Amino acid sequence: MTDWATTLAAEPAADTSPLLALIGRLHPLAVHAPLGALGLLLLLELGAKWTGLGRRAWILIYGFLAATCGASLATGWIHAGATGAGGKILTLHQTLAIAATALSVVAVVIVLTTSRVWPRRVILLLLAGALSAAGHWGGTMVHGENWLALAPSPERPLARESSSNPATSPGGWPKTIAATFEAHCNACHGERMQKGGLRTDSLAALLQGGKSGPALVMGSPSQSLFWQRMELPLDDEDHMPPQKKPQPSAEARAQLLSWLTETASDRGQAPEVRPQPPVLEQRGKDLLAQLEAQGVTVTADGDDYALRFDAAEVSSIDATLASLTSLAPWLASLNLARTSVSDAGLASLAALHRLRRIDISRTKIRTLTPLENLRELETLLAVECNLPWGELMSVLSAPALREVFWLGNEWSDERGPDLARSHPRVKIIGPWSESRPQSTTEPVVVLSSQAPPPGTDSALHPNNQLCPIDQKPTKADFVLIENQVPVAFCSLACLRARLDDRIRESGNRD
Amino acid sequence: MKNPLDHSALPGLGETRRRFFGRCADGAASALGLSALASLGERGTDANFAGPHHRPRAKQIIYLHMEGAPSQLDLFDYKPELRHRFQQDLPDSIRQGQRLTGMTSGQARFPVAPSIFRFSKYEGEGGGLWLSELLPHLGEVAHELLLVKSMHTDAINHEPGITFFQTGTEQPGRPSFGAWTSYGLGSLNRNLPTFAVMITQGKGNMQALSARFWGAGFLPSEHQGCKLRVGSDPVLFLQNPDGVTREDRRAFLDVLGTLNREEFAQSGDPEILARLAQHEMAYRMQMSVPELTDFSGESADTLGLYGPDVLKPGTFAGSCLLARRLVERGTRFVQLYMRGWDAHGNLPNEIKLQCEAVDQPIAGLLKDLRRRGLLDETLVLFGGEFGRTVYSQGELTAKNYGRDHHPRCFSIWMAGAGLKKGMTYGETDEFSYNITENPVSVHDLHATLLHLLGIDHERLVYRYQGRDFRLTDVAGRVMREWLA
Repeated sequence: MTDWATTLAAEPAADTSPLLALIGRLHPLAVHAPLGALGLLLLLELGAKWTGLGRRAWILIYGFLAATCGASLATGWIHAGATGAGGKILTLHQTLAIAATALSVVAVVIVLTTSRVWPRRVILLLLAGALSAAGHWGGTMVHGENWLALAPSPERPLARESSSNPATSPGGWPKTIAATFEAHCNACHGERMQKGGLRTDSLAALLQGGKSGPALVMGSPSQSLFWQRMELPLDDEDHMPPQKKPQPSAEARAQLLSWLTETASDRGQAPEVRPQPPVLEQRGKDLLAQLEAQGVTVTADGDDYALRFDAAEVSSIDATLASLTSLAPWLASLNLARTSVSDAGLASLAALHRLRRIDISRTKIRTLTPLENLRELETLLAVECNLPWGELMSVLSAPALREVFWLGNEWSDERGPDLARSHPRVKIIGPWSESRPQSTTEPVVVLSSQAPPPGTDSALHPNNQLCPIDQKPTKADFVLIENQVPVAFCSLACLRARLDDRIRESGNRD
Repeated sequence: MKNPLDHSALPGLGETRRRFFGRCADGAASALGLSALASLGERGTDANFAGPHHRPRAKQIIYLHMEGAPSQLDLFDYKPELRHRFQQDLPDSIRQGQRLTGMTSGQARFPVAPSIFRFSKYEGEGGGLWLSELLPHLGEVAHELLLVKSMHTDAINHEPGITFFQTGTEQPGRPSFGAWTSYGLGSLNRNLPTFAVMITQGKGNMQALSARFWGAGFLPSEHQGCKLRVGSDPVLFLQNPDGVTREDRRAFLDVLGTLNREEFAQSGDPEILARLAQHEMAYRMQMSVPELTDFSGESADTLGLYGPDVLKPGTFAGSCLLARRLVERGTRFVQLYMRGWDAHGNLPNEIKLQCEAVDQPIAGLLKDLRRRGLLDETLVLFGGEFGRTVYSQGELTAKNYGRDHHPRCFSIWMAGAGLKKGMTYGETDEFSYNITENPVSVHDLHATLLHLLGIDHERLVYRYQGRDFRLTDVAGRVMREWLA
């Protein structure tokens, strides 16, 4: 029943009216009526002599079969249109359903025109075949291929093997990734069936997507529809693969995620999906070209642009910043470090609502208030600006802020830790935040051409309390193995002196 | 991406070619104005801008090359069991008949020389790593490092070894890594070189460094490394002569530029454009370099990170601070050479002096980059051209030994953008002689670094003499195990 539920809940395409979509969703319900009628008819035909049904009864029952066939065909047609399904299996299913409906009409005509029983029985048998086959392919579409098999089919090898590069499949994506799609997705979104108009059996197809748009945006799990669906709770009706289907292993999911993020930079774990901005129009491109000519470094990362003002030769940075408003949907990063930007210039950043990273290090900025309302601001670099403590407090209210580089500004050792605690989301980086790794120094220095005596591998316990060279108290750090006996020394110098003596002795012996 | 000298791309050589180049010059001069010519080396013109191919994790690289090859056995590759093999002969099963250099092949025996230095284990999120007592300051930032113990190279001597690391091949003449980066990604600050080089003299045995290590090879010349002198005057002749104003200089360059472009329209030699770009760069550097090299604005706290030598001209510490200032201002690739690691004899004493010169500055550099938010976009690489042997070259005593060149395994480390941290990668046998796990070739390293910069190493190519050349030649695997 869950599969029915899944089908019933399938999202209607945008261009289908809700009522029509609902009728379409009744298809799985409707198809069982002709099957019931068919079973009953086969039984009645077998026992025709015993029941002695009259002609009118036959007309009624055959008529009912034809009507339900017609209803199933109609609902199915609407359903296919509404969900945007396609593919070979659907075509097969539809053809068989049309054949069955046609046969049912022929049977009614025969019953109406003649009282001979064999013609209608032949048609009935043909009809049974067509209807069963149509039902089978219908089941395949809902439950996936091999739905009749008892166990899920083992992972099939990829259709095409690449001989040149074993780690990459022909589509230019890693084999492990292709295999995950093959095992969990391609049955419904593959060569034979394209639910939602989507195919997942090639990178190109994923990028092209289905009815809901591109399924994959490289480097961005949060914008990749297929990954969003996989991330939904298992019982969510949009979760993919559907709840009843085998789910990808944790390892496969991790591989998918790392493949997806492989080319991502610091976009990180932003929980919200960043909607795609509209395409940068010519006016924006002209402005960027003009900025570049003035020495502003423009780098593009997809549709996200970053501007650096290091080498800018503009009459006024503030005026230039004010002119950037028309670029607001595309500006993700602004580096104003060491420029003459003033508070008036920074105020115009409030309109650049998509900024994620701002660098104002070594500027004469006095207030960070304009940055408070930047909803997507994640990183603020304000190194060596001599900003007062209160400005840190105010900028911390920016909702998406993750890190503030606060070296060379006012900091309070008393209030700092409290502030950090009250904003656990934000990392405040300054000289105080340096953490040193734990370290352990190797315990004992042993220098010897002999292996240590058995059983003393890790801990050596020399018996002498006094160094044989200097006669001073020994240290456990300096141990030499002589004739299988550990001997302790007071210093490394003594140990080496003894070792050198021994080398000389052995040299003389030779 | 077309080499302007690649005639095969043009239907006819004479008229068409001249028109082709003429179009370049006219277009540049009339449509964009003079200043656009200076930006030929930047991304403004497609001809000199190849990447990025995917979203970069690192924007800039600081490559600390330790010329002469530091001993992995005394710094990174902790082999405690070797202490029990002091003076024993290196087993034949380990050497496997490997050819040695002429410096030790005549030795009667190959006695094992365990490191006399103590090691410490530093914890890190990737499982931690061991460092020698020679690098106490680096230990403070060990949690930032990705230590690779399983590097190997083909070269066994310095020139081919460094050439391999810098250019991806042992034969001289190919573009260096920094030049490829400049060619592939362009500039972030048109007032400063995209690829800067600094050299520090060492305290130990030194080998020659050739300028071609940072050359552009067959790439357009503006991509070659700009060597900054590490003395008190990083760039000579920056001041205009007495009586020459900046306006005079501008007018002079404009006239010279017109003449050069006329010559270019006739001969089509792209080196003329490179020269023009370099004139313009020099003009800009007259303004930008004094600001770059003025350390007076650095706080005492910052200077302290780099150690007591930071303000002494010519020190590695000073170069590290300058490297940070370059990266901060947008230089793509900063290459620092520290000479003097070639300790064939007297290694314990030489390496001590070398480490004293680099340990605190490097640790300071990493800390400084981290707290300024630069380490998230900058990758720092430390390494020599090969490793050193476990057996002693020359006399082995309890206090002293030497080590010969060893290409079969050695250690490098990286830190910063896009990489895992506090981790050791690869393993060597108990003699640090052969790699037992996860070997990494120089090509693999290059491919990975380019990947982090947003470049597909198989697609960053330049056609020269009828062949597409790559930094990674025909090899290289992106080390995905290293990526964060």
